[in-house]
Amino acid sequence: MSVSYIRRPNRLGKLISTPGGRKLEVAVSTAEANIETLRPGLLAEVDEALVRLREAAGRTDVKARTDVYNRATAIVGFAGLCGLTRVGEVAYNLCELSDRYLEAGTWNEAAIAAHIQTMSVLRTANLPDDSEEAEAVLDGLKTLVRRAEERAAAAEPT
Amino acid sequence: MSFAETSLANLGSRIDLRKASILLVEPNNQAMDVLTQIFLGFGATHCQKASSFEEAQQICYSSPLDLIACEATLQPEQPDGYEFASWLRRSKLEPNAFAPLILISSHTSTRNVSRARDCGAHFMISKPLAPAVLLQRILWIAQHNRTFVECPAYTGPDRRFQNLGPPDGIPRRHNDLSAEVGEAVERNMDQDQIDSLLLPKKATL
Repeated sequence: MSVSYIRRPNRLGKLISTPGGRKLEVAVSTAEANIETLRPGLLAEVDEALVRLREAAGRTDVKARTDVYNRATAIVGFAGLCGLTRVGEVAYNLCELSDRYLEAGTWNEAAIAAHIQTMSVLRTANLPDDSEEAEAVLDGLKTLVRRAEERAAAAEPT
Repeated sequence: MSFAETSLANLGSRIDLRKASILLVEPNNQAMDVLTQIFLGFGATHCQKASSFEEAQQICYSSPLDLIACEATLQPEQPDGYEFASWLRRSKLEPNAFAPLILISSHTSTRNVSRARDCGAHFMISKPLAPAVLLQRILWIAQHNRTFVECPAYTGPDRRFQNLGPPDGIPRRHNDLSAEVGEAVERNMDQDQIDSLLLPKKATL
């Protein structure tokens, strides 16, 4: 097998290091402030994704399961940017779970519904990020993913 | 994540993206707004936007790019961000085939991260996007100009970050040095001799 190693000029490095530009701290804080201006739209996006997620989970067609995964990824992308860190964590857990179900060809409607219900509650409950209740619920949901992993591992041919 | 946590202070104190030509690939309008606002915050002024694989391809054909930030999941039933990265690396487009490419994903499972590594992306960043993390990755790419590797199984930046030797069960290449270490031909240096070679000392006159 032939392998070539190619060294290219570092265009990005040259551009970035030209004199002037922004201090790194200023660049980051400006970017964070810019995101903050989008917060109302991002909250609306999370709510809409939750509605569409609920709708997808209620369907029985072939595409519904992939839609559940896709809607959950949408929530992950936005929730953390508008102060809904816990909702984002539950959405990420749902991504993990639905991905494993899709891979294994199984599906547990109750487990999916538990995630959606939890997100809805966390969205409206306004619990602080370090709340023990939210932590306990998230631990329970993580157990579901762990079980799905164990089942998948047990089903794999050795 | 706070600024200090990402150790950006070690990588230089300023960033100038005013002249950088940047391609942002993101199918969701709100997510595109987030990405755009982050790059505006970084001082970028030349951002081109694409919402699909095809649009991204067209931009790659038409203008030289210095940086690409691409969402891993693009339009349904169409090639995704991983396929875009694979296509670009094998496109032979100058200079874009070698452009730094960061994949962005909400679901960074082991499988997705492996796909990102094997499709020729420089980095994968997880959502929700943290400006400090994105900036740190950009600076890292800019400071470590990774060699590109071209072979039938892979085209993209050198994926080796650690020097771990050949993988288990893989025979050594014919031109690798022997793994056998021979007998020492002279006695070991003592610590004073090592120090005299490696430790600079102030001369006292």
